[in-house]
Amino acid sequence: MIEFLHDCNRALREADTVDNDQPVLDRDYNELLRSAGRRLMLRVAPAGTHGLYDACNGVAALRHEGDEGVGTMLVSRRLHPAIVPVLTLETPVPMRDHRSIRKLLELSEGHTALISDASHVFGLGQLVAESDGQYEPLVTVHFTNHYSWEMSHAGHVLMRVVSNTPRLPQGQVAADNFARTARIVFPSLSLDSIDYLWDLAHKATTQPTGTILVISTGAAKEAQRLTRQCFRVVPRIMTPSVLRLVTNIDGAVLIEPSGMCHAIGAILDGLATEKGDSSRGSRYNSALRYVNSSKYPALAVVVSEDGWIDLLPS
Amino acid sequence: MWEHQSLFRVSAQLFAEGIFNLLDRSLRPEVFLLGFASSKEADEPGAVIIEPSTMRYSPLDFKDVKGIAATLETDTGPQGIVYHLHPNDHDRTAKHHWYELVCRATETTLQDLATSRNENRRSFCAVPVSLQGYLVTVVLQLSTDCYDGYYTLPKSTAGRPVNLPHAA
Repeated sequence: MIEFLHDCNRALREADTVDNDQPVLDRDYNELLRSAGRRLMLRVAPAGTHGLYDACNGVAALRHEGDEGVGTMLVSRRLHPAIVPVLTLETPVPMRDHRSIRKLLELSEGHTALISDASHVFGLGQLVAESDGQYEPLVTVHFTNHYSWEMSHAGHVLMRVVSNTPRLPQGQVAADNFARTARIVFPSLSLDSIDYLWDLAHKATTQPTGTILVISTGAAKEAQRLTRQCFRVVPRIMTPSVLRLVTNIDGAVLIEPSGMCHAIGAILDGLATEKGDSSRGSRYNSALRYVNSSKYPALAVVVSEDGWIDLLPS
Repeated sequence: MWEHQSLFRVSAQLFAEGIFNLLDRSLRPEVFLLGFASSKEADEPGAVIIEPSTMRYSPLDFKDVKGIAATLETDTGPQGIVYHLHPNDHDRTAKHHWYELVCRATETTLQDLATSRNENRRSFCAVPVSLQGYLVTVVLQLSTDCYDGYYTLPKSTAGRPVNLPHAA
């Protein structure tokens, strides 16, 4: 938002002074996101030290003896009371010395991480337990694999950077958004039932290969109608652990708002709708078609293989 | 306001869609321009221009923005009595300060409008630019549910990003 509005203002000022043939707002989208990433890292760096974003990229890009850089770095001011030092370097290593930092990263494991104040790495340390009086949530940079890292705070991932391209952590359907939509589609549903459905939906969103969870008041009849395009199951209450198993196969899982499952691996049908989006995959579009043309009130959680997570109707 | 304002608005809309769709398609960015005529009273016709004119807001919705900005000015604290040695510097600072107040007042007005109309939109305004007799503000609106769904850093201060959508 900040970078976007800055660019707009720059373009507006140019509109007043420069020939109108000049292109406006022609900055590359990812370049703008990189600037936003830099801005965010500057915000979390103690004392506003510049260069943390680029240092993290530099370190993530290097390999050590052929291995990808995997490790953790805690970012805090020096001698932070919430960090228990494990090993302190006699001479701190500057963050711009990517090769040395990459080598030192090999030392971090589990809760033991490199300690840095965004300009130097001081050694190894551990964050005290949450129950400790000195505890304070700190910024953590986690190097996940080659040229990839993510920044988190208090266990929440704020930014994931892959090949110097910042992105948000994979979108998850927010609980309150789910509850609101569920209440609209199934007005008579109790709060407990909505919570249970949310547990199931949340489990579905963790399926890495993608899946569709359809919640419909007519699940039993729909399972019967789609007999040839699904595996009907003896009705049973769906639990998150069973859902993880049944979503390993292609197709949708059909459940009632009460959580009763009637079919797995269902190939959904439905009429083409103007809401369809050809830029999205078949899983999204078939769920959209189904939800829009279903005779019964229906809600679908669509987890696409490429990482999108959608709640239909949205 | 100026000849290419529609073109600029469309470019900014496409630019916003390009950026924010890379982050999260549910952010649904919407861009429009607000122009406050420098030489007209708030209730005169043409005092506020909205681009596009088909926008769901009317110029009358923004007639009080300058008034709100003026009330904010009385509430500026010690910053209000800082004088710069060079008159040009002082003028520039005073002008910039006024633009920031207009920006804050516009954001407050839009937020109140969104609340009263039950719109799921969160508004952000750029500091206005003086252009051909108008103070032109770029307004970016994002889906509140989606925007608020992302974790934000604590201890936020003005102008410092709290998360990636805010920084972008």
